[in-house]
Amino acid sequence: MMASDQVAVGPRGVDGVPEPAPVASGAPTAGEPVVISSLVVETAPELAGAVAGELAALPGVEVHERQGHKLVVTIEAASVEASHARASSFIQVAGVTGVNLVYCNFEDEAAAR
Amino acid sequence: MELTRRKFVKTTAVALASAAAAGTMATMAGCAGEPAKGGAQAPAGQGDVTRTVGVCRFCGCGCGVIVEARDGRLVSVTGDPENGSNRGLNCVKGYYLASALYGDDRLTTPLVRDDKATKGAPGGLREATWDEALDLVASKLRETWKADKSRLAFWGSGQQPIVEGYCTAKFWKAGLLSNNIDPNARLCMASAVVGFMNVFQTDEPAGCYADIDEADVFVTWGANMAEAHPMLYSRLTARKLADDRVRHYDLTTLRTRTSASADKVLMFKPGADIAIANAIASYLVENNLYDKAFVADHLQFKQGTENIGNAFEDGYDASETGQSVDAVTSITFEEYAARLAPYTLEYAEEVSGVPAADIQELAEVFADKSRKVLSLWTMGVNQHNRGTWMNHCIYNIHLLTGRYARPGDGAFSLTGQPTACGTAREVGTFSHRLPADLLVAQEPHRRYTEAIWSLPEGYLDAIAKPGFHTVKMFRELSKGNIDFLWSAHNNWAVSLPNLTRFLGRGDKRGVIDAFICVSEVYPTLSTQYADVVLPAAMWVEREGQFGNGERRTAVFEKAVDPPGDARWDLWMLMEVAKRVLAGEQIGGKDAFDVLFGAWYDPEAGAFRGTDREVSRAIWEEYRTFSNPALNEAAAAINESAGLKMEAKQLAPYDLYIDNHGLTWPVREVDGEWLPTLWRFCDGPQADGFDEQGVERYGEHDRAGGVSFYKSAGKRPSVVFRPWEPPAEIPDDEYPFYLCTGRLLEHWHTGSMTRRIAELDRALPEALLDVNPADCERLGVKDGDRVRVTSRYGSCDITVSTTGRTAPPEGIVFAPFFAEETLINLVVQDVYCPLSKEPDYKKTTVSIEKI
Repeated sequence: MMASDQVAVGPRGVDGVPEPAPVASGAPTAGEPVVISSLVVETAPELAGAVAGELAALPGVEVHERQGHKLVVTIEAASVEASHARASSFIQVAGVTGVNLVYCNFEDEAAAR
Repeated sequence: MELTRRKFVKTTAVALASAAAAGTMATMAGCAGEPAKGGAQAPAGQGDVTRTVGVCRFCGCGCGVIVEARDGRLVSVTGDPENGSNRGLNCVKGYYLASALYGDDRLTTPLVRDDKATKGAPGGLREATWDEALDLVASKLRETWKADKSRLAFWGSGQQPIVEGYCTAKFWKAGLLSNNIDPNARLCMASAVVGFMNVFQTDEPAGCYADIDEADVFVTWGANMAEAHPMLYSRLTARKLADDRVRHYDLTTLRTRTSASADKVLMFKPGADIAIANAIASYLVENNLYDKAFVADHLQFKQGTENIGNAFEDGYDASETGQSVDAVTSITFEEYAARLAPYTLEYAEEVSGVPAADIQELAEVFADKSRKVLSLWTMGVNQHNRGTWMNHCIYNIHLLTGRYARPGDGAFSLTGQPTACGTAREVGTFSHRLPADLLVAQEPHRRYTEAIWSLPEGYLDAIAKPGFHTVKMFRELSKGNIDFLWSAHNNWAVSLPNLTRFLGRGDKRGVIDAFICVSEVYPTLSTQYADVVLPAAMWVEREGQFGNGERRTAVFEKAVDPPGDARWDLWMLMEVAKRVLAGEQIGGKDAFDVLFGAWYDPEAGAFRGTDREVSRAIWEEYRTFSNPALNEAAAAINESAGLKMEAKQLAPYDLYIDNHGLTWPVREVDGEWLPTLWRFCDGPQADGFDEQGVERYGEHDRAGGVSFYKSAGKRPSVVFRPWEPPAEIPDDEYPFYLCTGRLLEHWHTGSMTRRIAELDRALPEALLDVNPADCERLGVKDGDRVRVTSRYGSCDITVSTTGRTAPPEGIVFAPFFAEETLINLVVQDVYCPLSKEPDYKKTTVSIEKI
């Protein structure tokens, strides 16, 4: 198992699981529909830090953890489409070599249908 | 979403991704929520959320997922950490797994066409009751069956779940005594199947996805994994990142996203891959770089019928050449070496255009036993006028160098569809097959099947002759020789080659006259040719099973109800079978009851139990094929005919749910069921090796630590196959090769993915990728509309020089997903004479600006 170090927002909880950070700029606010997804973004090892910084600057995106060349990322967006668009844009960030979806919760969107 | 809920969901999201990144996700018990029904650690469920285990619907990788539903709708999808195929990770298309169910135009009621003249355009279908639709389908099928059963057909799919495929094959083969059943897997995996059978006498990859994590060198042959197998490609790039000595060679006819990340691209002229492979084999033999112990312990050598021409004509299969294509004779190693000798590096360069030095470099990679080499291939190899031969040629190299069935060191034929292996191949929904690799033409195989299906001895002798393979089926349909066609889980009106002929746009109009039933979830081009459309439950709207490309069988549980009057395909099949077989007998008993009475009550029109109970009951019968001890008569035939049916042993149904999928053979050892990752490779069963199989059927301590106990004489066949040119060669009239394929956003014909707005926007149009130099010669530029014309037909399409692929001069590429473009109007229906799989990669075309 690779060493894990935190690189961006989100303090670590007592059990080692990061606490969610405050909602980032551009993400839906309370009361609005929200789709929450988490991803593992793979990077060129030497660019992991730079990629983390660049991703964290994107609206609704938080980087919670770095494990070697892998970043643990969440996206909050108003729809599945917006989430997918955001995730799909990651591959254009220099140093990103792979984008893996782990979890996507769209219960708000389902309820709205 | 309330803030507390939002916080909880997000905490879960982070925890799951963190664990997935570390590869520890499966051990995260108790982090959030209750286990899913299948025993899964699950995401953020609460209250009335139900949680079920599933398998992704979109491609051939077969990734496990966990889905949550609330109030009858899906609310989350998570990569399943306990499914060994993907270990909690999905590609970004996973965002839309649930959306695929919720397109605006889902079919929710049966439809009937009253006027055949309305075929081929939207409209002309009216709503009907299930009774009317089923009565109509059954009456047309029965009428055809009674009149001339050579004029009926079923066209299935590598997306049809296992028990549904099993029941369809049983109805067609035992109920109707017809072999006119074939799946769309004929269009993607048939060459791989025939290759496996010819070389190993068993249809299965020996390796598994974990090979990717252990290889030192990757060789992709005709495979755009980056777009067609995204999860596996992610695993490949992860392996490269983990060790900078890992290398990737990409053999291709045009640059793809896969080429973009390869260390070396060997760009060859279409069809020349066999010359390259033979040159590599020749170099290894000539320079004494092959594995002599492996050759001595394991291999036999053969050559086969050559100069086999091409299947242009409908009568090819019945011709003298067509009848001889499967013939092989044994030769010595020295004779094999002599056959290879003309394939010098220089000759291969001349044929392929690949520099001799590059071919030599790749040959030396195979010769270097200090490194593990993994070959991966898909449609470039299989959809080839010599597809079976090219499969042979890859195995030849790996067998000569002792690189097969060993972790990270093997040849891995990738699968194109989620259950092409599980249903089309393992169940055997092909025109020449019975379940579990058995063949209709083999008498012991028919006897064995009769025993398990409770049929009188000799009953299946009526189907000893194979039926129509896919191209033959649609060629006969176009000529007016098919009166009844039922298709399910596919969209033939977009995916077949030579649609100009098959859609009646040429001189052959059989598609209009025939009665066609289409089971579907959305309106497609195929439903425009249907006389009846049956609305189907989709994916997790019923329980089903997929068998993926690494021999992993997995169950997807029912999570939600289907919309409107859409019903389970299995129910439709039972209702049609009940009507068609009414009054028929098998061995003096009611025919329907003999075949399906154990799980369906025809009087009540209902299954005898829940989806789970029905699936389990069917599975347990199917599983008997690989567990002959469960049936005394079958066990006796297995023993007397030496079938070794238990060598592909499958486990009881519920274990697949409890374990989130298992790779077969799953061996019962002292009451435990143990899966196998590396088939034929000796080693501890608990670590995934085939200890039990080698112990029971094979030999320990053979070269490479492997034993090919399923092969004749325990010796796989190295078969010399010569290079022969493509069916068509570019000329003045048709100066370009047209290659077609799939791109990331759209699964096959886009019937699901084009309903998803974002995917549709991401790739809204099928473009023709053209080399800039060719554009200049043609006087066209990016964005121009052109007409592409072949000997078969033409279509109009937009030119791109900045598309997803970058073809060299003389080759153009188009994806096949778009029905408004319908590139398959242009594509040849010539097929590999051995596998009958069409060559979608090498149609010669002209291009003119319009």
